[in-house]
Amino acid sequence: MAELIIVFLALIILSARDMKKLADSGLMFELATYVLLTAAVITLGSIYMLNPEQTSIIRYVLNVFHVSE
Amino acid sequence: MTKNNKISVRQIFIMFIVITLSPTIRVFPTSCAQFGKTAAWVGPIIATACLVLLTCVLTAIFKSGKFRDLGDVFEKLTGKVVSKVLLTLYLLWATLLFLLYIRYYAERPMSTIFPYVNIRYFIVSMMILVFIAAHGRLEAFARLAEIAFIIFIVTFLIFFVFLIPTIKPRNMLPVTYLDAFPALKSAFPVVSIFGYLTPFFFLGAQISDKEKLFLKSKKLVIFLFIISTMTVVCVVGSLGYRTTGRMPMPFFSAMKLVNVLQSFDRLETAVLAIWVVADFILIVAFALIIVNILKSLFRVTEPKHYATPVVFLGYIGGIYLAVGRFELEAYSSSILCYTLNTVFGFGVPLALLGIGKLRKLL
Repeated sequence: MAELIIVFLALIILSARDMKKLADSGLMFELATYVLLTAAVITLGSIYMLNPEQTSIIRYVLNVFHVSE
Repeated sequence: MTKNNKISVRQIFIMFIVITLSPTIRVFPTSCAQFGKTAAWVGPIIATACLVLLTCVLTAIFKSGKFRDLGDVFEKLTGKVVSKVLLTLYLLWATLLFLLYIRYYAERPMSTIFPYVNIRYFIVSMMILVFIAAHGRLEAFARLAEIAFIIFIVTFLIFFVFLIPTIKPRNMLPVTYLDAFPALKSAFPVVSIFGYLTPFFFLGAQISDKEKLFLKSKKLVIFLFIISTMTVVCVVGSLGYRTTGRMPMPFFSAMKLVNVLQSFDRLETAVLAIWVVADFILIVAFALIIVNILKSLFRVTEPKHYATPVVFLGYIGGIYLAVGRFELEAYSSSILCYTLNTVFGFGVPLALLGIGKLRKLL
């Protein structure tokens, strides 16, 4: 949990800087896309960091394509 | 070299050679020995022919000067919907490779010199550097790749010169017509790695003379051919295909054979050091490719800022990509990995060329 908070705090601080630059430049579509991407990373991170016992990404990919080791 | 804050196609090719060095050391000797047996060394020769074909295809696509980058090619040749689907698939593929190489980089010190250290320390230290490099200028990064390239040449030359006396011809001969199929199979992993050239053209808007790719890359293709073939020849020739095919790191075992006058040995430590630099360039290159795919996908004008979420994705994904090294190898030595790389690296550009010719857009 502590790792999750530290990672997301760092992400929010660095993203805020980028978002400010984008907003100052008037690039609203870019800003919206940026927020969307950051939200996607936070969601993915939360899923994995709060439940690390779940299937790893590679296992998931191999299962999708029915590849056995 | 650089023109109007752009990088030349020669620099792109040098970057491509540097990023192939990490897989060259890790994948080529083992997979070529497994598939090709005594004909293992023929694999890189066949793969180089495929690389020449790929450079011709990319030159044919970009020589008209109508296309800015690969995303632009997708849109103008296949239409909006198909191009978005293709870009999404490329994004997923590039992200998977980005995470794979982050994890491979972090696993290496853990399996060699720091076995009890938390993997997060290695990933964090790499991602801080990647963050800085991905936000920096592409020209500066291309120059770093050029410097690294020279260091690699020197190291590989030393390696080849010292290892040539240990090569036993019986480990690589005879090669007859019966070895044609094993040789083709051994070329498959090498071809899949050479396919990494294609995603570099998502940076196309920043490449100054991409229509001259074939002309400018001739010498570098020859260089890549020598490096990849000699790596397989030296390792398989020294250790034999049976031993090489069963070893996780045959390149290092071959390097341990180097001993000059009982005083000059342990060259593998130098290779470990340059391998980290190669991994850094590889990871940054994939981060830049992902950012540029996002630029094409969302049609944004300022893509550099997107490096921040990409780097954080690299940290989280690098940790949760696999449980351990065995899972990483299960993917990267699978036919699925080779097939995906070959389809995205070779298949799609070939198909685009065909579509372009049929629609008379090229």
